[in-house]
Amino acid sequence: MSAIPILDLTGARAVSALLPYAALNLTVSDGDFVLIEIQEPRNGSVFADLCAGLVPIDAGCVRFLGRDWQTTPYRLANALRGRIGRLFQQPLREDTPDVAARVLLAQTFHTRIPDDVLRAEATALAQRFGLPGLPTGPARLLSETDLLRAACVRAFLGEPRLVVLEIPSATQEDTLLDAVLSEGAAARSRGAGVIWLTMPGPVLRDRSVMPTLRLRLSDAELAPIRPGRLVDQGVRI
Amino acid sequence: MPDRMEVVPLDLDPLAEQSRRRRTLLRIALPLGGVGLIVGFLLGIAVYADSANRAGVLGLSETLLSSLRDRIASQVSSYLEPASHAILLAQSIVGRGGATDRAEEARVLATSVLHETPQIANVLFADAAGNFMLVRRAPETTKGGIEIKHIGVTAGHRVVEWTTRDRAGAVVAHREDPEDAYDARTRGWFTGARESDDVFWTEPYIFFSERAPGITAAVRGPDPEPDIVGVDIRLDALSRFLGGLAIGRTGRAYIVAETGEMIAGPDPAKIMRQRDGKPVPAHIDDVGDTDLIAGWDHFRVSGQGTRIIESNGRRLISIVVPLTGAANDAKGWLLLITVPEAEFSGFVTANSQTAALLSLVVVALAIGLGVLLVRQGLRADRADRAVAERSEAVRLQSAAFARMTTEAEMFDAAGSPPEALTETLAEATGARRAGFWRMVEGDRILRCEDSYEPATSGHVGGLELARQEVPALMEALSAGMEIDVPDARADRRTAPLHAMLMKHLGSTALFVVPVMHAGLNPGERIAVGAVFLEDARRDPAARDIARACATLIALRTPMSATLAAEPDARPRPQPVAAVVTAEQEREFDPALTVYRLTNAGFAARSYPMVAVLVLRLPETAIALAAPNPGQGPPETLAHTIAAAAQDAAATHGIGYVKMLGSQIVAAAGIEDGAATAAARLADMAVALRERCEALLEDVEDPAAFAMGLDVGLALGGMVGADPGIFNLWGEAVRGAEALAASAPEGAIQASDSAYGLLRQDFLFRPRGRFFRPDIGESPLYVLAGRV
Repeated sequence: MSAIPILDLTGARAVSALLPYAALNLTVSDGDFVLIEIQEPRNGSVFADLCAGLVPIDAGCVRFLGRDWQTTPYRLANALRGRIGRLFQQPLREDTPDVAARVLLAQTFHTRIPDDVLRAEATALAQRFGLPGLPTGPARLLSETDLLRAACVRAFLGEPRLVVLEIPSATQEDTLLDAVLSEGAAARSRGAGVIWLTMPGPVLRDRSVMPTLRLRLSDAELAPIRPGRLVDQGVRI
Repeated sequence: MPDRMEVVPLDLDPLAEQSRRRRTLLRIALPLGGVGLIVGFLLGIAVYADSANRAGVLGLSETLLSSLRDRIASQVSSYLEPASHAILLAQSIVGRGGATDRAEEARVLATSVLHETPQIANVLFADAAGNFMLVRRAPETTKGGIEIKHIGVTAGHRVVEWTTRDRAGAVVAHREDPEDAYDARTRGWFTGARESDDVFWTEPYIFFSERAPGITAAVRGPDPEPDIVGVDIRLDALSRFLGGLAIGRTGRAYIVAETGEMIAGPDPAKIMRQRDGKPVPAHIDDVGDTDLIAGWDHFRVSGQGTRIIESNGRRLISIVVPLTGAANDAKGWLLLITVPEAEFSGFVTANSQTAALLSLVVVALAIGLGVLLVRQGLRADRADRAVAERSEAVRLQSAAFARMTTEAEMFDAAGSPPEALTETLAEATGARRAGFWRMVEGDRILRCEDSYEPATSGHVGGLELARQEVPALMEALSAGMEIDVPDARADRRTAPLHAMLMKHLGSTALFVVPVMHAGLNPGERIAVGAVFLEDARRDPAARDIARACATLIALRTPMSATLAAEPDARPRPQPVAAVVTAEQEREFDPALTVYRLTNAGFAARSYPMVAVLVLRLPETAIALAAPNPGQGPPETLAHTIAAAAQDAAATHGIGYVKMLGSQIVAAAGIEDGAATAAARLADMAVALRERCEALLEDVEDPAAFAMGLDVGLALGGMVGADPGIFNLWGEAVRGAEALAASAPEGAIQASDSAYGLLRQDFLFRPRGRFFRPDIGESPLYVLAGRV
């Protein structure tokens, strides 16, 4: 019963042409799953940056775990970003020399968890995402699908308080979707919040994807697609 | 949630932490700064007082030494002045012919001068022709008589006579000394006086007869070839005078010539030295007084004046000034005074040290007070925080009690508390998880009625723990004991509970309050349940709330529930662990079995290189009907694929094929080793993949099938009653299963060991390198087909 929301956008107006002109308001609490329909993948990326305190704002404030990104000291802000798991629109670059190091980097940097413990945790997570284990070596050896899986491992590793998923073109047929839904549910059960940024498509119509809040990020505003929370039907992730 | 061990603690508010640090800094810095100021002031006062006292003393000492210097100058002047007056008087009275024509007058005058002026040793008269007369005191035997040496030069003939007269002037003795070759005209006093318009003073020298230092003062007459009148003056009286001065305790005064030759000093013996067998005035360096030498060296570098110098590690007051006075100016003599500074200002140093020691006491007191102030300040801060926390706790506690009062009406008929009670309990105690567990079936089962986690806002209930699982905990609860352990792993009663429940949540501390209800007998108390708090605040308020909650539950628990918790309500079953045989236990863990391969009692056979193929089929799809061109009853796709696997196995000589659930396992190499077995199994896999693709192609919602191929150690043996079947398990089987589980759709994923055996005959596509549990990092491949 935490009184402080995980993410709180209050009248936030950012300095970016890719975000709505209207002030943004959004509250993500423990266990929330917010599905946001975006117009363009780039809009989703900038909005995710805004949530992570990487976009300066003109008015309002963006708070993560009760801390205003604008006033939080640089060192602490970096540490706070370590509690955000993020699946980027472009998951892992092909020129990444060591995928495992890239996957473990945030946790290695922000925590003192022993390497073997971290590696074991990542390996188990990788298996849940359909990989034989934690990918090692250069990224060019992996297929695009496996790179996406590795990026998912990075996003969910370390029990983040907020997971921001940029999967603009996800479909129900994606084999990865089940794993993402399952890990998202597990993260929410631990008290994390999940934000899923996606283009209009099958996911928005899929009744097995049961967000607590559905929003649309248009050029004008961030507005609910259907008012109210959906908690009475379907399968919750 | 495991401890993330974050590098930057996120729980701390940086601004509050900054404010707290600033406050703490002020608490510490202000008193310490005050102490520093006190110390600084005391130090400054001590330094100022010391330097001011020292300067004052030195000023006084300089005045004193200046007076001394004037006294010495006056003394020397008054010592020498009569001599100069005497020769001027003689010159004016006698005029020319003092050694010839007016010798008698000169003798009378000289006798008078010698009697009146003791520092004059000889009176001299000389002229340019070589005539000369010396008048001096006769030896003691003559009782005040005089001796006269007269050198007369007449027409080139030179006569030297010595005449001794008594006090009345009568001649006592007379003799000639033809051997005497003395010529006054060659002497310095004669030639110097002829060149000087005033009284001429010679350099100091040693009087041969008296063995004493002295000088000669001479004056010439006004004529072109003037007669010279002079007097020899002994200086040893000056040394005696200097030796009698008291300058501090060890201070000394010297009179030296500008050349550094000694004129007078406190020790007359050191004024002379021998050179070529003759006594000459000693130089400063010959005296052996290091203080004097230091003062002289500083004078040569810096000139005359009064200064503080260092010598032999001591500070000295050194004065080097010209000796002034009416009779002194012309001679250029210098007065040197050296005296240790400590002899004047020593008491200042001692007083300063005493004052510094006393100041140290004040400093120590100030430091003590400062530390006390810091400690009190920090304690006050801690007390403030404690009061604030306590106030918050009291507020929560009050709110909790208020809510519990309301919630007391919400218990159901069976005495089960409302969910709000655990929420209230968790919030008021700050627990990571709060729960109420009830004892059922006697005291053999502990059932979770409701457990609440604030982090997820989730309620859980229905979980049961048997007495056999947590025996010590149940015993303690039955006995009505509270349990409060900071680390549940370390306590015998709670360790099993931690392993089963708490570990997954990441909690360590546990506080358990039994819910005690009145029994049927008077005074009897029976445990009907317990309140569990995990990682709650460790303060009395939290415990009180938990106890109050337990009391509330007990009050609302009906008698029927109490009877259900009676220890003898049902017979106890035997502990499960007792019926588990050691043999069964050994089979629980395949890894343990592999470890016992070398055990003599090990029955399974090991196969070091077995190729294993696992086909994972989509569960829903294989339940569909297979295409059936004939008229027979429809078969499932599972049947068709299994039959296809049998065909492929027969075709490629694979002896081990099994299907369990939606998974088919095939293995080769059990009899003939892996050399050809892997290739045969790979052929079977390729054939089976094509068959599955064909069979699942028409399925409307084709789910994924995938295969895993691994080569390695496996264990096998006959299992089951007669006839029994051969079963295979172990590392290779597990590896193939894992590869099948993670293989891409419709692909055959092969391990590195399988790739090594098959790469000559089959085409592989690398999938990448992966770190896998129990295996480590290795590459994986996708089998494409035969070359």
